[in-house]
Amino acid sequence: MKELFKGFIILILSGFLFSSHTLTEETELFKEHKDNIRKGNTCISCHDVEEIKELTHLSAWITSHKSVAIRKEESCLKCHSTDFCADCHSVRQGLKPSEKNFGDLEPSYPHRGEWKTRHTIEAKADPSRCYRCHTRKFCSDCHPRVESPHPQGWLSIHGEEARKNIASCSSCHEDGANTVCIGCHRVGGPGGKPHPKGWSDERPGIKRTKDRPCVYCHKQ
Amino acid sequence: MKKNLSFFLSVIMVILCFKGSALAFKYEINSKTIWLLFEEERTGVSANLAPLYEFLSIRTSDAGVNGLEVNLSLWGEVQTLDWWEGERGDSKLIYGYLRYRNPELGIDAKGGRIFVASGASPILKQFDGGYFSYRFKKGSMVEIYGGSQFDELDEERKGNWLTGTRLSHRWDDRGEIGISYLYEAERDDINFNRIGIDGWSFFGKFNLNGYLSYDITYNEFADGDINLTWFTNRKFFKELNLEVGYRSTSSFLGNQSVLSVFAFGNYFDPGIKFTLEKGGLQILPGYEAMLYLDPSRQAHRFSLRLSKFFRDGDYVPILEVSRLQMSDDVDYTEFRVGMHAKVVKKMSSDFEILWDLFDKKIKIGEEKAGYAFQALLSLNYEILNWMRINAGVSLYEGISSDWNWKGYGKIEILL
Repeated sequence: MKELFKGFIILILSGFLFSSHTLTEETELFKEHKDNIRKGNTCISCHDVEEIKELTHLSAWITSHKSVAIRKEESCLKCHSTDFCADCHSVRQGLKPSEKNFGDLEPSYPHRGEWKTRHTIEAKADPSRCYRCHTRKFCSDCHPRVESPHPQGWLSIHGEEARKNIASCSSCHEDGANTVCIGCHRVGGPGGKPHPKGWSDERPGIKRTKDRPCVYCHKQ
Repeated sequence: MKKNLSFFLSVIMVILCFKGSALAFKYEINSKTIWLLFEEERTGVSANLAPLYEFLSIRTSDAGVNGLEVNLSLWGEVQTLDWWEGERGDSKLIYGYLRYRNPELGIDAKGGRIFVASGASPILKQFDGGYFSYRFKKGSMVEIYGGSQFDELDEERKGNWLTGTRLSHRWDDRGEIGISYLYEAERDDINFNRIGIDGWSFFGKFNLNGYLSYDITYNEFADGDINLTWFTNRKFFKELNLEVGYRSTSSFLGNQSVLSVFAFGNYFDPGIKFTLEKGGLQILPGYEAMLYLDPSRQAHRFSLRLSKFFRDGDYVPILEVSRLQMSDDVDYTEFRVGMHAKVVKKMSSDFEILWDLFDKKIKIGEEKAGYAFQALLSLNYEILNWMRINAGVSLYEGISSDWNWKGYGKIEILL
């Protein structure tokens, strides 16, 4: 793999050494756009409205850009580089986009400045969003032992709450065979067997002797 | 195998050496060198951190052969003062691939570490492998991709592999419909085994797009969303956006989690977004208002945001009220005031303050969620037309954190 990587680097460097250097058309266009915007021009200063009607980045854009980006990648590349996508979509880059581009006036960057103070709120609301990019280790780096957030009497109502949002439970209690749930929810345990009425391991796709959740209890 | 690869690279290198000049070898390089300085506390221990980051991306086009591109992007980090155990430095290849594009022939092929967002794939997939697409002259297209995923989160390759395909047809710029299949395995477990249908269409002042995927393993719809936008183009009412999403809980947790045994309900996420704008159709509107409602999963999320763009976006004040009512334990009403502005020609500022209007319900540690403040002042200077320098300082304060500051420095090179 290292040899391959070396070869790749040599390939690129050789290309620069032995060729005449010009900017790609996209780079020239990109720079030209950036310069124009910096001078105070807007898109309609140069473009016809019809030409750019899909490119209006209004408030909902951050959640709705996927469909445009997939089908018209070339339109995005007129103003953005591929790295612009990777800023948010390639996780574990070490820096969040608002810090990587800290000079930008961009209110929609995810996890902007004060995020640290309010991430608990969002994490409680929908932890499955966090898990799209982060693992539990990301939480435990700073919160190795979080005190139980559950109120008194939780035991009697936890089933109902869990059904509302099981992903919320998984933010702390998903621990494979060591998960706290199957300590009680097992045959002979105080929680009884966890399966709902009518449960059958004949369900298509379920392999009782193979699937991870099954084998924790149904070891052969 | 290695010999073959070395031979392959040597051949390309020779082609580049002798043909590059004739074809005017084109390239772009973007380098961002960033240095931060701040104090961080973990479990009662404080450290002065000063990480130095380098983000480098290189792209060449017509690399020896017309339509051949080399794309490379990587980053590295090293702590120059204190560091947490096991976190002295890090580096990653973000993407690195060869691409051949020939629009006349309708061919697009990539090989290496690539990103793909296609059909049944719910998010951008990053993997080491290949992608090939062929567009027929009448608008149909076939895409196929496959490879091995490097799990960035766990930082290991767990025997993951995936393959996917999509068949689609496009009617000029009026619409497109596609069917797709995605299979992803992690050792012996199946993470994804889905078929999907997706599409978009412009008709009159409406845009409709969405997708739906079906989980073959679990025999149920896995997730989907449909999004309808009405471009009213009226003076004060620019856009109405209606979005309805669905996600199956059991297929989301999948056979990764024992909790899937307890998961009965499915998510249904309707969201309604209104965007109002004055000043006609332009990228930076005169002002905008956005209302977002999300009555999903017995939770209620509401947000109303007002912003005005002065001098084409040089000064953008923002007022926002949002409420999240999730359960008796999570009930939060937030009021936010912000200002994003170019203070003077070379200086920008980013300021926001927010607080919980009713100061109750959510607890973080021993404190209630109350308020947060952050301000970033940045000096942006272009030394040459290919080099920029930025320096900034931010202040922030809020729940579970006293006054904090962070220093920023950046040199950006664009060649």
